[in-house]
Amino acid sequence: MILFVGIPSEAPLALAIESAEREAVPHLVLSQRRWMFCELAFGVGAGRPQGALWLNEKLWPLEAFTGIYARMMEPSTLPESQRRAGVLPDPRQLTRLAFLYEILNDWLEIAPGRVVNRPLAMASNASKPYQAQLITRSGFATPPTLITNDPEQVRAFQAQHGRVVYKSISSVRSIVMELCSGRDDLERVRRLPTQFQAFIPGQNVRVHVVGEEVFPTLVESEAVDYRYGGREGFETDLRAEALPPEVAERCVALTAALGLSFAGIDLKRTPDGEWYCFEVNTSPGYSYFQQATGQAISDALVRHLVEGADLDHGSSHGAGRRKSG
Amino acid sequence: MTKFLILASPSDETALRTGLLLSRRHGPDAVAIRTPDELLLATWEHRLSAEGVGARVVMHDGTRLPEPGEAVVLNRLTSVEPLQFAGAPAADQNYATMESLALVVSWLFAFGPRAVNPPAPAALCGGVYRPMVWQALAARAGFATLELSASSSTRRFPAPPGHAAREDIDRLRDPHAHMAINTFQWRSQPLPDRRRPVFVMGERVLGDVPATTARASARLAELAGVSLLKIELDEHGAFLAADPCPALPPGAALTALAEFLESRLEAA
Repeated sequence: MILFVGIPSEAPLALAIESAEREAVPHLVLSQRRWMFCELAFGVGAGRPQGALWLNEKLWPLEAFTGIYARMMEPSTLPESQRRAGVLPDPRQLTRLAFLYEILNDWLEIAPGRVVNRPLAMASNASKPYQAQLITRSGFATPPTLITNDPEQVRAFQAQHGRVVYKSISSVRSIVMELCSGRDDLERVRRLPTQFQAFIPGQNVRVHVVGEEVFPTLVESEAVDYRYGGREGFETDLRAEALPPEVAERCVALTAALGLSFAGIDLKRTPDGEWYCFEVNTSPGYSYFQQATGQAISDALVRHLVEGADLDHGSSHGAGRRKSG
Repeated sequence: MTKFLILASPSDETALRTGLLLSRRHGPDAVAIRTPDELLLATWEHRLSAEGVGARVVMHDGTRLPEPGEAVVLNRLTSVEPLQFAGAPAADQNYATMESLALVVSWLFAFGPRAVNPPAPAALCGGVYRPMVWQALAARAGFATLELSASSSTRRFPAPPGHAAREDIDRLRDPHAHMAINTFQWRSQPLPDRRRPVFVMGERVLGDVPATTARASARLAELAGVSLLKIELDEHGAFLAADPCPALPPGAALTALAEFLESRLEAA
């Protein structure tokens, strides 16, 4: 059975639930909007994680969920945690929700079966240059990068590379912007080191990897960051595209190397045919791409989760092992 | 030339003692101890390119920190907070903290196994797992463990007989737990009064324990992706807790740490 956790109306989760319903895959939805009506307990004793979930007036053993897809929001950002009609929510209930969130994350980390994705593995893009070092090991090129709080170094980097973009080092406020030449406010980088990268010309390709299945999407846009192209008046056109087999294999290997089984990989193919990797999204919002291209990413995700039942559940942490024979 | 860089808060006695010991063995110029505030006020040039990863970090006093490949780093920082944003709105403070953390993680990661411990994005000094994850890792490593569990409702899921609430585990506590008929809690068999420490330093395991426990200890460090780890056991050898950034008493453990750092320098 599959467990879906998060906000059921949020597009990526909604599409996955829809796929499970269409394929008649047994599943349960644990909506974060209804957490006040659910209870969870689990533990590790005798080397095996075990527990139970009370939901919909029923007790579900956690071991029954052989595949879990989670897209959880921080409880403090949920509408239930906000002031409503001038009334603050019960602080004790908020603490309980935060507790539930933390222990559910613990469960996702140690649960047997397939978990998309495990929380610690998802942390790699909290430091983009850290993740870039791992990406390089998988054989992809990454853009020349400078992180500095020295304006002179920024000027020299721009003189060396011509077009330069800047973006956050962490996953917070992650928008790519082009650095205009001759900016007179570069002194501001003295306050906080900033990440600059050589602009790589070419075509953006977003690759969703689900287990060993690969869904590449060609992104046609003039915007520096196509995700926000609309704000600058640029149109974005998405279409399904095939990848050279060796690039597809590299994407699958990179996803596995990061400890993930579902990833959104941002690539760029240069006019010279070189492939650059910019980032691996560890909780990809694939719905935008699926809806634009018709790629059956959510079906693949559900298939991948269903296969969790074939894993050896003696493994109590990590991705588990396939049953032999 | 700096061979050993120690990153620690000014009040970290283990860092100071380790620095002193290494200074005696290698001379004062071989060791640098830097605080998080000094680190964040430095001038940074962290580069990633096809040629590799470089980092030129120049401190406020003009000294340059060693580049990856030039030294061993003993990192005892678990977080960094840029002072220059202390008066900024909370969202900006959070942004600056996350950005600074992301930079320091990447920089330390570039030192490879010469960073003790290697950082992880979710943990600057590596291997900072929540208790339940440590518990699962310890069981995989071959340790007996206490039966640790968490419950969001003690009415629906009461504690097993003989188990006690573990208030040491989570900062999230029910303020009315003492009078509520239903609460949330961590619990386990009662913790013993006495704990036996075991230290893992690379391939060395320090502690008066049987060979099987020593092997499980080394395996636990490996599973956690750390080379320095303190493990606490009960008198029967059951796993209680682990700490990848332990305070070390003066004596054999501190000497062993210095020797371990020296071995990392040689293992380049």
